[in-house]
Amino acid sequence: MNTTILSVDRLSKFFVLNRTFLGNAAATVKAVDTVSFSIFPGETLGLVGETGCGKSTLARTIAGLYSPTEGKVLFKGQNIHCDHGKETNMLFKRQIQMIFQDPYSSLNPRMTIHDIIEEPLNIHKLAKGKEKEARISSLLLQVGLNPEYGSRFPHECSGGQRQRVGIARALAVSPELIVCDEPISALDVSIQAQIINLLEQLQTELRLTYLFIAHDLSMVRHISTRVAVMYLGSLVELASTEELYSHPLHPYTQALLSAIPIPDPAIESHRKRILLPGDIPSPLDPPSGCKFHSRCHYAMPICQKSPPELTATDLNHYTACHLVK
Amino acid sequence: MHITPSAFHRTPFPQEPLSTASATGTSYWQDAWRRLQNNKLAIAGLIFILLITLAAIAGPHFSGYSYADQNLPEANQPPSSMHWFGTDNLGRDLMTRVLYGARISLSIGIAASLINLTVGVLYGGIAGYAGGRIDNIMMRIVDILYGIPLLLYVILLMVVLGPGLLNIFLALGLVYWLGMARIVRGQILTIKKQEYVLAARLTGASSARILLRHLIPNSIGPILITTTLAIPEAIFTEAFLSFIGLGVSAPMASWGVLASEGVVSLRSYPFQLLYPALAISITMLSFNFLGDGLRDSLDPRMRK
Amino acid sequence: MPVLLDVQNLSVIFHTYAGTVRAVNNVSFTVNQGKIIGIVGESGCGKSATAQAIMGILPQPPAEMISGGIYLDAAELTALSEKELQHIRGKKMSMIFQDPMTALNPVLTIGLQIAEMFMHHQHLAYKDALLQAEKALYSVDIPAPKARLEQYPHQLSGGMRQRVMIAMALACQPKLIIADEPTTALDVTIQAQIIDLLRSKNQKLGTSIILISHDLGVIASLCQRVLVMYAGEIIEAAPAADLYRLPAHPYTYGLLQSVPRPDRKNHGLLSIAGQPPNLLKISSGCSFGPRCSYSMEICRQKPPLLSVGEQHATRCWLAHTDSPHRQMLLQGGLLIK
Ligand SMILES: Nc1ncnc2c1ncn2[C@@H]1O[C@H](COP(=O)(O)OP(=O)(O)OP(=O)(O)O)[C@@H](O)[C@H]1O
Ligand SMILES: Nc1ncnc2c1ncn2[C@@H]1O[C@H](COP(=O)(O)OP(=O)(O)OP(=O)(O)O)[C@@H](O)[C@H]1O
Ligand code: SF4
Ligand SMILES: [Mg+2]
Ligand SMILES: [Mg+2]
Repeated sequence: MNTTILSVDRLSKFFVLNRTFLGNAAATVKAVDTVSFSIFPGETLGLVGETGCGKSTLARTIAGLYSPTEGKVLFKGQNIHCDHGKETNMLFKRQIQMIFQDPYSSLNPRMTIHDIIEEPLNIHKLAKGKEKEARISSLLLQVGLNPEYGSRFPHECSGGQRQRVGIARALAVSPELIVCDEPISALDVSIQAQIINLLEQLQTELRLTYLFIAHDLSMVRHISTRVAVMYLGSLVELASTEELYSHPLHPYTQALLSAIPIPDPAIESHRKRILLPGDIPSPLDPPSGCKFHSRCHYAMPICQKSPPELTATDLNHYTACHLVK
Repeated sequence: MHITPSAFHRTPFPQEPLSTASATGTSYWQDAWRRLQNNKLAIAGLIFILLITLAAIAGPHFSGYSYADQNLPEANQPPSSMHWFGTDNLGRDLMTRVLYGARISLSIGIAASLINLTVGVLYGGIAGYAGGRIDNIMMRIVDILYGIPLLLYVILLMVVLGPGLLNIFLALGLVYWLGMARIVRGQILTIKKQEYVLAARLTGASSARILLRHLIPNSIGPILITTTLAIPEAIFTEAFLSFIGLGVSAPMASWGVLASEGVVSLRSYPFQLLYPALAISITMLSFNFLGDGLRDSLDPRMRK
Repeated sequence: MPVLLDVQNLSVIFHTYAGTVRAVNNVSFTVNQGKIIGIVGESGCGKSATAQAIMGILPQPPAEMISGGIYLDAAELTALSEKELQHIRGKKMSMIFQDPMTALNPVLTIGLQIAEMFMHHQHLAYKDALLQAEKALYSVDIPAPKARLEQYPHQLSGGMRQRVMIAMALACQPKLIIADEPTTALDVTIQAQIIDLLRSKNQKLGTSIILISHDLGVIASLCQRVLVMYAGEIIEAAPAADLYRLPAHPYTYGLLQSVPRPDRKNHGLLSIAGQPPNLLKISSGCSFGPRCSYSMEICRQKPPLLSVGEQHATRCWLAHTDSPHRQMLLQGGLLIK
């Protein structure tokens, strides 16, 4: 359990925006700012945070779609952003796959379901002829779709079915780590549970490791082994699920947890909420020091000056806050 | 209502059959074609375009006259059973000349669409796919050229090159792909960010595969629409150039030449202007109706 | 408690290229004065169409209201002309949308847009109206309201825009506000702020609210009474406390079981099988039938709305007085299974 499958080491990803008319004075979005964590084989690491905090950017950098501004991503000890020669590079592409948020834009509208799942098999030359057809059918069955669906086009499937196709496409190359970027947030409530159950079932069957991104904290609690909380590009807290939900240490995590409405009027009627003042600051111009200080009820003078480091407060519990030392 | 206890026995609810009628492999193109068929004007346009193409290819052989043969005794005859469209001031059969003009106009249209499809699509595609600095430089050039009306360029070029069919092709070729380049680049830029392209890159798909399997098939709709709408523009440009004397030269007869000849004798023989003018307007309208129809049936925002 | 809004047998259809969409089917309910009533249901089940019909803003065509009576304070709204309706909208009832950007005019300042409400309904002069607008912004806890008056919608964050919408909706102190997914586009911490604001306005001003959402948590935290919609029908109506404790419709039960609780450990999620309904062809029997794991022979006929308790009704044959399963339902049998 101590060997990590993926470790992210002081990873940063900045986007340079040309905002002025002449395109000279550039503004920088620090979408991911010095983030470090590891993922262990077979676990599900949940990653939560509000809109624009950099979850997708982090996910795509880990999957190798973006190259990092600084820091590195090690998959089983090897830096995935270095060139290891064509063969090893392709091997990385097989081992890390992604499931996307939008079931409407994640499938090519001009390809049939069959062709969509076939594409990765062709790229990696994993199967041919009859064997390939059998593999496609078994992948469809695995995600709970009748192989007859292969002849359909994406627009003839419901949102949940499309998401299943996206999962089958990711599974086609037998990956070890799957980065799920909000795979359920565009789905109907009754379909979300179907997809979550499918992901859990596949995890046990195929011994997959997930990085599961969501803004729905209830679902993250349900599916994750450990949970990381992100705010404006930085990790503010990382702990095992039970620990994080029962003893949140960072003021932001506390507010986030108290803000989720519970589907039970009996509890809701006498629940006290921690209401955060104000809005999420713009990532173009984040607050100095601790990025959360502008909304924090406990902010101290030091919080405006120096950014707190993510430090272990307990075995398996890391917090980045000057209050918690 | 009488309800027997057996009514409350558990039994599975009748399920919808798996393949419902609405979902049996109708592809995007079949869908689009069905929608296009519902558009009366577009279909009328399409039929007219097919007819005039046929007539332009075959017509001059069957009319019994040649476009250049003069027959002065029969000059300026009104439409009759001999000459359906009448004759011009040199006694040439007007219908033959209008049909012959169709050849020139349509070949100009085809040339324009070929230029659009090659230069425009390639230029825009490369700019959009490469992105960054290359895109910036390539598109600034287009922006600068686009700032001035295309017709003005063409007129200037024709003044420099001199009249003639080949020169018209050349002049059109130099500037008529700008609009297409912009549209294709915009398309590629948006599609490039779609999650299915990311998914393909994630599996290690090569640039060529991404272009051929994902980017181009998904931009074909707008490319087709732009091409269809560029044809009437080119036809009109040629007619206009010929009308002001910069186009093809006698005895070749383009619609613009015929119209300008017709204007001279407008008072006495109005039919000499009427037929070429009709040919120009109906052809342009047809292409425009078809283009608009294609836009409605291919545009994803109009879907379902 | 006096009834403020009474909706009877409302049916709305949409004429589309693919056929007739039966978006709302025979929906009846009432809203009492000062209450918050929730409408919950999945995407496309007809929540917004119901709201739009009440406000008289259905896009006609393609929409058509084929039956129904809507009474606000005993006045029949469907009988009114567009002009009379305009007078009532804003003054007696108003609406908050999911995306405030579509409801606000992007080229006018916030101040002018709110002031217009006062000029139109209370015939105030521009200066006075602007003063009222500032007060309105202040009342929804917008910091520096005076400066905001000069700003344009795009200069505000999503949460701020939603506050502006609420300020506008409350401007003329209407008796009823329909909030159509007011927090769906917002982050949880901002959603908590907006929920808090709506609750305090309801308590202070006594404004009735119809809250539309697909989030059972949001509904639980605000509403006293809940209507569950499925395929254009109300399939269950109950006081909030009863609905969450003793759901009496398999769909409601499934919905509750398919969302994990944030406040405790969850073991295994129950999911509702099948796909969301297709409103182009509604089954002649129970609309939930194709996905229901309790279905019986009689379910091929449309179930009526059956009472299962005080103010609690369900559109499910299990609850019929002749049904051998009624006791199970009343005692929360659905939950035990
Ligand atoms: N390609 C890009 N170019 C410039 N800025 C970007 C780009 N992608 C993301 N950003 C910016 O980086 C920040 C983080 O974006 P990201 O998409 O990672 O957030 P997120 O946490 O996934 O949000 P959401 O919950 O909305 O998906 C945002 O401010 C966004 O505007
Ligand atoms: N303008 C329209 N044209 C055609 N059909 C429409 C139109 N608006 C809504 N519909 C259809 O009417 C049905 C009900 O739509 P409605 O907007 O009321 O759903 P909703 O419950 O508000 O869903 P959501 O949660 O997605 O907002 C849907 O099936 C939808 O497809
Ligand atoms: S009426 Fe029948 S099919 Fe419908 S919900 Fe009740 S038991 Fe299920
Ligand atoms: Mg994201
Ligand atoms: Mg809606």
